[in-house]
Amino acid sequence: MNIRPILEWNIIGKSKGFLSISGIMVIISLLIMLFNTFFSPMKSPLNFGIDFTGGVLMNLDFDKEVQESKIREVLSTFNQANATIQLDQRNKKHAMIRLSDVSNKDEIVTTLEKELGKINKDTQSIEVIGPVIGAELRKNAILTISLALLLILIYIAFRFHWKHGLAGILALLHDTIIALGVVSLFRIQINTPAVAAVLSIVAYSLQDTIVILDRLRENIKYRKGNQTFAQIANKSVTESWTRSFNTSFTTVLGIAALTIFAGASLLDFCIILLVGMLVGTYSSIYIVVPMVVLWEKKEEQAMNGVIVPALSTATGNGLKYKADSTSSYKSEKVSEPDKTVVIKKKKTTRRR
Amino acid sequence: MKRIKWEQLVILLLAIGLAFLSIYSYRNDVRYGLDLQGGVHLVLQAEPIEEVVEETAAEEETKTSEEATEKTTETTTTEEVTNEDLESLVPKKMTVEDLEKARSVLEKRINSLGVSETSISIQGTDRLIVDIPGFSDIDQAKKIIGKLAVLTFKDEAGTVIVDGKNLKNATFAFQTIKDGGTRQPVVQLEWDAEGKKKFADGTAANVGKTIKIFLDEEELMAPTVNEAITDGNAVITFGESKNEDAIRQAQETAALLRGGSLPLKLTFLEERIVGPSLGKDTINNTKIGAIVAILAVILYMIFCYKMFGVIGALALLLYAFLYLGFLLAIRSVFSLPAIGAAILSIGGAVDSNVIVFERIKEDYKTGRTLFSSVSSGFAHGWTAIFDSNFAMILAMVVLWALGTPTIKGFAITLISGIIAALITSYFFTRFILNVIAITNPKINEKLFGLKR
Repeated sequence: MNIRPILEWNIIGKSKGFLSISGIMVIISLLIMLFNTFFSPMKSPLNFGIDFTGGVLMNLDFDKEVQESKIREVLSTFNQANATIQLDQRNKKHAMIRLSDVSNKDEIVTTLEKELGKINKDTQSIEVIGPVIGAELRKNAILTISLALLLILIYIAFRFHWKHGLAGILALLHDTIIALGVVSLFRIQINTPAVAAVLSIVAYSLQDTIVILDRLRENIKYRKGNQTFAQIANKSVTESWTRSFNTSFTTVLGIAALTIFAGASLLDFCIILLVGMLVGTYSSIYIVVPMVVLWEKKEEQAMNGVIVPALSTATGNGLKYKADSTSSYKSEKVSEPDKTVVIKKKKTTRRR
Repeated sequence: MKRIKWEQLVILLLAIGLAFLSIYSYRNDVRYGLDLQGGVHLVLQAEPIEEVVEETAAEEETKTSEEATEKTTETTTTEEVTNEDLESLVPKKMTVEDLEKARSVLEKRINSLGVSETSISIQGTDRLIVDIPGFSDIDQAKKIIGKLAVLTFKDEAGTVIVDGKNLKNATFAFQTIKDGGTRQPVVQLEWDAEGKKKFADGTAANVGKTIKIFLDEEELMAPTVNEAITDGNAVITFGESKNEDAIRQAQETAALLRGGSLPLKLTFLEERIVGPSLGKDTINNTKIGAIVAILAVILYMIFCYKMFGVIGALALLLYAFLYLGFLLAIRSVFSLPAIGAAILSIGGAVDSNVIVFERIKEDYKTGRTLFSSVSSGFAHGWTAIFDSNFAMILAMVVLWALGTPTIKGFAITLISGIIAALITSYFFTRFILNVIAITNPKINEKLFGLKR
């Protein structure tokens, strides 16, 4: 057979580097959230918006018809560009404005009056409103998401291996934490759309991870005689790289177009998606697989330690291996008995 | 097995037909969220429930019959009865919990009518703000949430037989009524222990007569009692046929009866039709953005995968069509979170093509024929596509089953996207690739971007 060797990138060889970078990024993200909790006016890791915290609802009757964009302009000078502004469709002089930050509501009303027209003080109302996403719902949401993650773990464990599942879940957490770190850094307001964006990140990262794990699974199945696990892993990520890039690139294209055209009110939403997408693609290649490899390596080494004294046999969860099979994979041919890992089994590791 | 698999085409055409049907029938009735279209904004004033005076007669029955049942709702009932008996008008205190409960009941009710993404928040200490997206008719919206008041079942003389507190559940169903044999839309009533007894007594005493169902002062309907119902399981029938009106009426009634157990009495304080919160400019720009995005993706695919890219582009358009049909069929609400899910599933749809094309290119490189690379490329790619999407569906089903309304909306949008993507790649991409591979034994490598 005439197979041109695919350009091999030594991704796995540098896995410690990649894992450290990710670790540092996660720590920085957590630090940003900690900082915002204790040292910023937000007093919370994330800038929860009106959907979570409640705020005020203003009902204002102007003496002439007003435009949503004009109101938003005024609000943005008060740093509240993402307030909800709705106009009464039958009476366009009436505006309903929801603000999460209530500190300067009176100044806002005065400025609106100056810029847009007189406000009828008799019908004007500014009232405190509660969150759309109440405490109960929040608790429920966290529980639900945890359950969904658990189910994913079980599914990957069932179709692949529990180590892969765990690595996948860790990558999901990695992506979410970094995305939230960026959200926290820029103090992007978290409302219902932002929740959807974060869920999207999790879903995207999951999909991307499984596609790569599938390649790994397949290459383990059709491995050649003397490949180490690391080599197989490296082959898998190299082969999936083009696909990962093309898929992410097209998705990023989509989000970028939305960001550019849709403007300010969608910007936050798109930023979260964009960051999550990039981190999600990165993590599938540079986190999930290296993590699995490190795990396997540890196991190989641990086993080598047991194996070196001649003729010792050990059993682990129904899987027997002899002195010449240095990994949990059943081996067939061994070139360097105590170093090389030889793999010839369609299933992945089944120990403990 | 070198043959064109026409059965795949049949399934594909079927899917396209269904999507077309759905788009055609709902084309004028697309539902947008509050952010994109606006809707009806209502402010409700909440008050503690005061029992209707006529109920005293029935309530005496309550005390004599089954007071042993230890349900919180019942204890409050007895409390109110004593209040009434004493004619003291001390208002019952309304707690935050009551408001919270009223909020979640309202949310469930409105969502059960297929109007999702309704947002409800508490204003001050005694008001609820309800924003229902996609409605421009205030009366219709009010009708939906308006009949929240006290639910009572009365006999022809106006004596209360049983009230809504004892109604555990009311569900919409289709049922074949014994003699006729046609399936009819019905509302199934499920009573608690106390309600069962009262309802049994009431129906026994009124065989052949009607029982009137009241929400506050308004008569909702007056079904005739055919026989005494002692086991607590009754159905109310709604006309014979598959009549759409009857179905809608039954659905509405079920929702209304379910909502009868609200802990508070709600009255309308303020009503408005409001515009979209995102603004018209944003929406128009988003549309342009979406078109540009799809064009960019198509160009990139053709750039990368040549003729395969063209197939991918067609698949993407077909996917968009199926997806739209799907979303309309399930009456999904188009809003910002939903757009997020849609972008994501477009990514998934592109991905399922990219995976397959990459595999085909790889396999072709190893010296296989086009036909063999197409078959093996698809077979190998499919495990990845299936596993990644199935895991996502699993997760989304959990979110859908247990999540809050917004999360539900997100989950259902994503699930439909995944299904549409799977159908496109399995029945369209695979079919087209097979046809090309079979009909072109000598392939123009350059045109398809293939290399050996």
